[in-house]
Amino acid sequence: MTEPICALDLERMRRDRLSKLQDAMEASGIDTLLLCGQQNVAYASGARTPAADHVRASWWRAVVLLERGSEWPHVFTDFPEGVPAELPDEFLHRAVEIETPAGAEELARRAGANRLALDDAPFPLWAALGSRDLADASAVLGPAKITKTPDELECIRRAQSINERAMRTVRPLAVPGRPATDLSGAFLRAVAEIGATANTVDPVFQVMPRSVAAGPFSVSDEPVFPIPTARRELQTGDVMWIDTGINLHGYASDFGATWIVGREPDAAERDQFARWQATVDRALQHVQPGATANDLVEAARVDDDHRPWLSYFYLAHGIGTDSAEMPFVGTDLGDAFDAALILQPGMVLVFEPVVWDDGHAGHRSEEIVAVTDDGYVWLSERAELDGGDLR
Amino acid sequence: MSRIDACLDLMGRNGIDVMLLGREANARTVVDASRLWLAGTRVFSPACVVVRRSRAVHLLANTDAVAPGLPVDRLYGLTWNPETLIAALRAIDGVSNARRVAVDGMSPMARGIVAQIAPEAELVDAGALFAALWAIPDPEKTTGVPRAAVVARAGLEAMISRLHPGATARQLRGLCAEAFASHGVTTPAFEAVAAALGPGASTWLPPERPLEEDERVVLRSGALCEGWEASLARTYTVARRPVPQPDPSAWSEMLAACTAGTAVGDLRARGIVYGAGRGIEAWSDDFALAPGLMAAIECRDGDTLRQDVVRITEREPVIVTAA
Repeated sequence: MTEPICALDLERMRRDRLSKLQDAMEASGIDTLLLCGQQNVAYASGARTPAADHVRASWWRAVVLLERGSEWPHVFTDFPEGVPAELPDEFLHRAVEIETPAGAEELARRAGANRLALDDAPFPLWAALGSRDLADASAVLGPAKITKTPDELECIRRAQSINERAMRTVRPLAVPGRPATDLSGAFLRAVAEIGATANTVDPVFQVMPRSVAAGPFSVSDEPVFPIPTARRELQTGDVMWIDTGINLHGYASDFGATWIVGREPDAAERDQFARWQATVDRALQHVQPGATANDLVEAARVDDDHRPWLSYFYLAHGIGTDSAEMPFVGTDLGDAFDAALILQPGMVLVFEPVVWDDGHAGHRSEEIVAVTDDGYVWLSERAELDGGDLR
Repeated sequence: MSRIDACLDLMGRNGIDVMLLGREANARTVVDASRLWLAGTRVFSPACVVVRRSRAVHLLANTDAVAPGLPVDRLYGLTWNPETLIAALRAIDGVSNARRVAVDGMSPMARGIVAQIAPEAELVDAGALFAALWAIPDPEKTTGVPRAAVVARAGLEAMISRLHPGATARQLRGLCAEAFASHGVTTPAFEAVAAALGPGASTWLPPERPLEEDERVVLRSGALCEGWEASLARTYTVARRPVPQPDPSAWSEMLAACTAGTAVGDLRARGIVYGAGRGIEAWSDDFALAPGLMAAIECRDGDTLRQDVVRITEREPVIVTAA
């Protein structure tokens, strides 16, 4: 079991986030922050909208306008019951339909004429903001989000715990003859019952090929992952890679594991897991404030030149209101990027190396830690071979 | 005319050389893409490209397994590096010298990237083109939405079967998802809802408390199946044998008005209306219904709410989401 980071206080968490946003606006000279991306809206206001496919989510989105120096953000939403109770009435507004020119123009007027930062806009809003000199909101959101407060870390830990508990109900179902999509159904039912705010990604239960050549076409000549779960009956000996994520109070979880269907893992699979774990452990030895992402990459590397993870992903990524966010470690952004990224207390790292033995498939799991003042603390359970006692 | 032909035709008529698309529903429309589903809004990023001159669709994906039939040389791989993305997109024939580029979203950061991909291009809204494209009757929609409707209906029935005193909205939501998955569908149009029908409530964010005997609740179920969506809502009272509530008073009138030629604005006097298929297909008030289109209609009075998807015909509408 992971240990609680703190006694969770959601109102304090929201207050702390607003304070960080205000500091970042001050530092970057932004007068008004206009947020339309739902994860960013949730970060700035705590406002919740129904979990939906992106087209509906776009029409249903809540919008936040935060003025520099203001104690509260303005929230525009059709779902007032999803707004935290502490938001004063004068900051809660009816939704503006920024997918339409009329709504977009209304919001553009509300945004005022000062230095404006924007995260993302449907085209009508982009057109309504016209020729204005817009800053990207990442100038404000990036510095605020990259480290987490104790309450945020506790949300991530609890989200992950819900995800892990749900997997305990799913693992026994991964048997020969069962359609893989049944596992998705059992997972989605379990996370709803256990207490997730929402599910955030189509659960992945992907049967891996033994070799890249035996699998689907791959642009990078590496294993292709993730592919949406197929309604295909599982077979004895299938090597299944799992990747799921849920949302709790606006924070994401990220569960990764490798399960063997219908039999015990063989010697090769045990060895793959051991190498996978050793990769994470080598990197973990360097996780402390002041270390660089490059230190982790160097430690995880095998035989000087082999990077045991998928080149199109990473050795590790951050997690928060987005399921993959800064800090990124070992991406194709390159060595200079990794060398410049310095670990700080409150950063979160989701390690997801991949051990692949072409012809014998491979192992992929995920483990999450948060950087502390002198090392790290676990936000996930440690990964176990084939789900360990989940069986 | 196939959907992609109709798309290219619309691009030609609007002088659009290239479309850079970030929205998955738009990618599903031009190439039947089935990339990993994520809940919620997405930051704009050019994840699908349509080039009028070459009549080619290019897709951000590491494999054609998520877009069967797409030639693999039209895939460009996942990357975190903007320079790699820019180079991949500039390498697509017809992109870098495009004069008019339609996009379905934008951000200050993405604007910088698009400016490097197509430096000369005027940017226009792809939304209008997709609205026009989705308004063309489509035989695949006519079969796809009813398949999604079967799944949505199964989810609703799973919720009704357990709408007992003490049940929670969470339990019902989980049952709905599980019912979808028993049909092989693991993606919702929205997470299922069992919500009180009180004044001021949106009926979309349910309470955490257990439901009470005789309480009136709205049950909503929506499935996304092979890129097509269907949804429905019914009102019940909570009981060991849940009791369906009569339709809202304006329901039959609204339903009867769903015929070819009716202006959407006229229907909106009675309730909510939008195009069904790829999600919310926005229709303006002066948009006239036509045979073959699918409309989501929703009607509410003080005590009861109903929503269905109907297929527009020359005569009476057909309720696609009926039992």
